Order: sequence, then C-alpha cells, then structure tokens
Amino acid sequence: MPRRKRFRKIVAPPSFDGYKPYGASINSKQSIEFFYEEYEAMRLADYDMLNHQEAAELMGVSRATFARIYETARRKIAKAFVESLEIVTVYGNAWMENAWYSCASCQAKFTLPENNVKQLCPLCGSKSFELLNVIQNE
Amino acid sequence: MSKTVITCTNADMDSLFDKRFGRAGAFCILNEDTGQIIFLPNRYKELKESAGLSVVQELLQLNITKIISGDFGSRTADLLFENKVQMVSLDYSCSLSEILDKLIYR
Repeated sequence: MPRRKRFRKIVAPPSFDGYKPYGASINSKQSIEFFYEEYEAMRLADYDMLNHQEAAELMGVSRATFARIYETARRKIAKAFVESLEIVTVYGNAWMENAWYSCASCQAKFTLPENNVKQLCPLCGSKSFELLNVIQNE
Repeated sequence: MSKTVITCTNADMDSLFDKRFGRAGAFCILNEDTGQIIFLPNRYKELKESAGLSVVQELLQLNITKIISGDFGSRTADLLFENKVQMVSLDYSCSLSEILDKLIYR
C-alpha cells in the first residue's frame, strides 16, 4: 500500500486556472496537472529567490521533500513547453493556513479577515462566493 | 476608515492593473469612505529580494485595509494575514479605472 502523502502548506492559491500554448501545430488534448504545492515551490525558489531550506520551512516540509516537489514542478513545466501541452492547476496535496474564497460573480479570490464585518465579495459586492478549500488528490 | 490599495503599472488614472505586488509599478490608494484617490510610486520594485515585504511595511503605516493585486508572495501574505489586511487576487488583465468603477459604483 503506497504511503499516504502529507499535505503541504501554501499561503495563497495561484491566481490562474492554467496556461495554454498558442501558435503550436500540435493539437493534443493532453494536459499537465500542476499541483498547488508545485506552483508554491517554484514561486518560493525561483520568484522569491529563497533557498530550499527557507522554502521548505515555509511549506512545512523537509528540505528533501521540498527538493522533490520542486524537481517535479520543473519537469512538468519542461514537458509542457517541449510538447506544447496545456497546464491546468489542481489542488494536489496542499492546504492553506488561512481561508480564501472565490466569487462566483467576478471570479476574484479573496480573504475575509476576522475584523471584516461585511460578508460580501470585496470587489463586486456579490454574496455569492465559496470557500476555496483544498481537496486531497488521491 | 476603509483604505484600498490597487497595484497598477503607473502612478496615474490611465494606468493598467498590475498583477505583480512587490514589483508593481505603483499603488493607487482609494479611500472608500470619501472617494479620495492618491498614487504612490513603488520605490521597492527594483529590490533583488523581499520587495513585497518592504511594500507591506510601508503600506501598513498608511492604515490600509484591503489590497487588490494579482499574486501575493508567501511571506507577504503571511504578514498581511497577521495584520488583518484583506487580500483580493485577480487573474485577469484590466485597467485601473475598471477596478475603481467596481469599487465606487457597486
């Protein structure tokens, strides 16, 4: 029986649902599933320029586990680029320490701090929003 | 008092929404109670690291309550959570005035 994967902390969800290549001659229906924790690992290491130890601490994993997540992320991006594949983001094995919500009306993602008395979308004022909870990828 | 920060490409009303936070071109600060708008150029955008944290520390001194941007870094988001600043993340391109219209006329 495979070992159950532990959840990895991310602070905020990616602000996109995916990426599509354009101008590609390949018409593949295949896509790459890019997990939230892989996005977070790439951001911490390559965008925020943290070293692996610092990034691992932020994500609540060991340095070795961080290195594995990061390596998988890079391989997936490389595969998507070389094979002109679409990338879709999925929850994977991530958890968010603080709650994020998604507005059904304007698609804004937002937090609701405890001092915020208005339970409305902070951009469009809609009452129609849902908790962006994290689902384990089995 | 409700002060909202919107990340934008330039410090003027013709600016576009900037999805970057720490490296945004400028910040538009809207007082939602009075409608007053001021612009703040981002003097930290060329920092090699921790631009987001530096921006947050400056904005916190202005008692802001909400930030609209595209992407918040991990340490930046942690600091904003701690200080109970609401974060709004948008994944589409638009002009600054489109966002201001939504906030003012909703």
